[in-house]
Amino acid sequence: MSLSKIFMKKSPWVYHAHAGGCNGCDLEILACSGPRYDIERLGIKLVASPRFADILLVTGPVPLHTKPFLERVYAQTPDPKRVVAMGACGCSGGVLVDDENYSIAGPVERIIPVTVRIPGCPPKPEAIFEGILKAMRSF
Amino acid sequence: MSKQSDLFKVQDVSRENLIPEVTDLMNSGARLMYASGVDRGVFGFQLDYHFCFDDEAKSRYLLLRALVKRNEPTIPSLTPITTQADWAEREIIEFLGVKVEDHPDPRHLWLPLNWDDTHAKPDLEQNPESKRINTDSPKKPPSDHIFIQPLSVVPYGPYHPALIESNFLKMSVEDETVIDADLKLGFNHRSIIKLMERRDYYKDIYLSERICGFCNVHHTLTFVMAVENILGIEIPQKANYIRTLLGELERMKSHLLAIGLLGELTGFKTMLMHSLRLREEILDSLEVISGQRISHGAMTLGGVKIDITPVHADFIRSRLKSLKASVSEFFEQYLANDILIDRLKNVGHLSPADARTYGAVGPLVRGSGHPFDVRKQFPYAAYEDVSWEVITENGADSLARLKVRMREFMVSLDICEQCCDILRSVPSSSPIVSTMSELPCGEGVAKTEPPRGELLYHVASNGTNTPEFVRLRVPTFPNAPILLRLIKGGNIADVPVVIGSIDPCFSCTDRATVVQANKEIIIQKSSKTNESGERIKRGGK
Repeated sequence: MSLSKIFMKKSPWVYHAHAGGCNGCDLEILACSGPRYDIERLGIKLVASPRFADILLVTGPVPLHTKPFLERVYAQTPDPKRVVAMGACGCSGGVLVDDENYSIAGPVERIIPVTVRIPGCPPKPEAIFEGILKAMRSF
Repeated sequence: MSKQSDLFKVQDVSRENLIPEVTDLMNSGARLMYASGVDRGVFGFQLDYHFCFDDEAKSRYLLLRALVKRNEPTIPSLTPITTQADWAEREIIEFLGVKVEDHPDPRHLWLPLNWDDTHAKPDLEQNPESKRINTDSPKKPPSDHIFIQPLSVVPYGPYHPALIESNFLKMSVEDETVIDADLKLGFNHRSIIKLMERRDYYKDIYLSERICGFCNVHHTLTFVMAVENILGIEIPQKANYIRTLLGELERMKSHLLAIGLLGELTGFKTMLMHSLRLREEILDSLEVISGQRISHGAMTLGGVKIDITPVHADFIRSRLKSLKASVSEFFEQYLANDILIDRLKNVGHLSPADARTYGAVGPLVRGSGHPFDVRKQFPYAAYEDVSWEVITENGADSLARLKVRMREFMVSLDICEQCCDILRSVPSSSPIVSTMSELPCGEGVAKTEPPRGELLYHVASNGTNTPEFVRLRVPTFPNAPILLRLIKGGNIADVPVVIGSIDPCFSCTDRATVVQANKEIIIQKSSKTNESGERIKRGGK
């Protein structure tokens, strides 16, 4: 599907749900909105509430503390919705996977259904673009 | 690095003598950096109180060590003597179960809000099949321990991607004045120091890198420095320059972002866009060196893994040259904006005396006129071999802290240029990693100055391939309680300015922000609608 066809469907509004990441991924999302990458030129907008988001961009390994909040955020996002798990922690738990880790409830897919995973620690802005495009193709 | 280990001194103290000893130390100008606790099994709980003396030219470091019995884990609280002990003691209470007597505020700070309901069940420990902790949804909706007052309570959260660390700041507000504020941490609690005790030293470097995306170079650097202090080895001079260069590049990108975000928080998004544009130049340099924009994996025990060739040095140099011109133009525009300056002036005033009393670190204390900088007081890497000055400002408000960051940026740029020049001239065959010997039993402490202030690592080795314990104190840890003090009594519209000027990093601390607060409002609303929805259904039946 060509880019123009994807974005003729809808301008995806993305809610960035931070679920205990180290800020590395969050910095790269911020860099996406900066002048060099400028995610808004594709109509992708970072929004401040999950209530009007189409795509949830989840970073981090989901600590126990954040788990109920992430579930609520997912419930608040209107259908149809897609979840993009970002970063090594979001995809698999990354370096934090351990039998004795008492504070991690994740990875994200154990808590909410994930459509697209963006691996990398952290992924580059280009990869974030690609992940959001993949999520759009799946609508 | 042996320079730092020379300053390190441990002194045992009995439980009874703790209060008089600490009172004496505080009167002689010491600062309580951190108090950490370690479970030493049959020996009991070991409580370490880290002090440093900022007034002395090469600041001395002292560790007071108290051992409390396992069957009677009590220790008198130091919070009545100095507020610097407040959060550290809350951490000890929470994670070790040591009873700190007379602590004024012994509530949970990190553990999940509903921890006692869901996870403190006795049958969970008895069931051998449950390897992991119960991760089921809580039966009761999460509640917090944060105060409730008969005033309007504002859970606070301007959404911003960079402030996205999930922390929960709750304020009680009367008219437009903040009466009280409290912070709930733990939304990023990933138990990293526990994992570090289970993995070997080389894997721990990667774990420490994932504590914080902003200052990962400094986290890895401080960890390897602490281990090198146990070993007592010398680092090749070239590696020291590479460490300095990476650290300063990190400081530049972090300060630039903090400056931009402060503009965004005061309503000038243009400033954020400019800072993001300029930041890419630094990220390019880092990507050329290490292949990664954010996390570099550059540090290793005994040196660095990434060599900087003359070609790299030239590339960085050219980027720095263009940055120098464009950044001074950006700063000029920033400070020429009267409205923005008025928003920052006299907001979040932290008097020089208060900065000492509360134990502020980093640009926060330097903005109040104290020339405290670990790079000068407790030198590491190659900071003694390059020429630079500690930046201070006397304004003691948000504007002064902004100016400290701006001037420090230029100083960092200068240090980077010096490092590049030296690295160009060093022969390419010179080593970047020194040979390692077997790691002896012992303890090591290392301090560095990340962009936000002083970072402390305390690592103990027991001769095996994993550390006995790792304890770390991040710069936001002492600064966040000060943030609450600065918010109190101020105007609610000034809260983002104060937060932005302190630039807290809660993924380190495991941080205090802001987006979670947004979610909280929504959650409260949605739980109300759920209840009413159920009621309607029942009525229908």
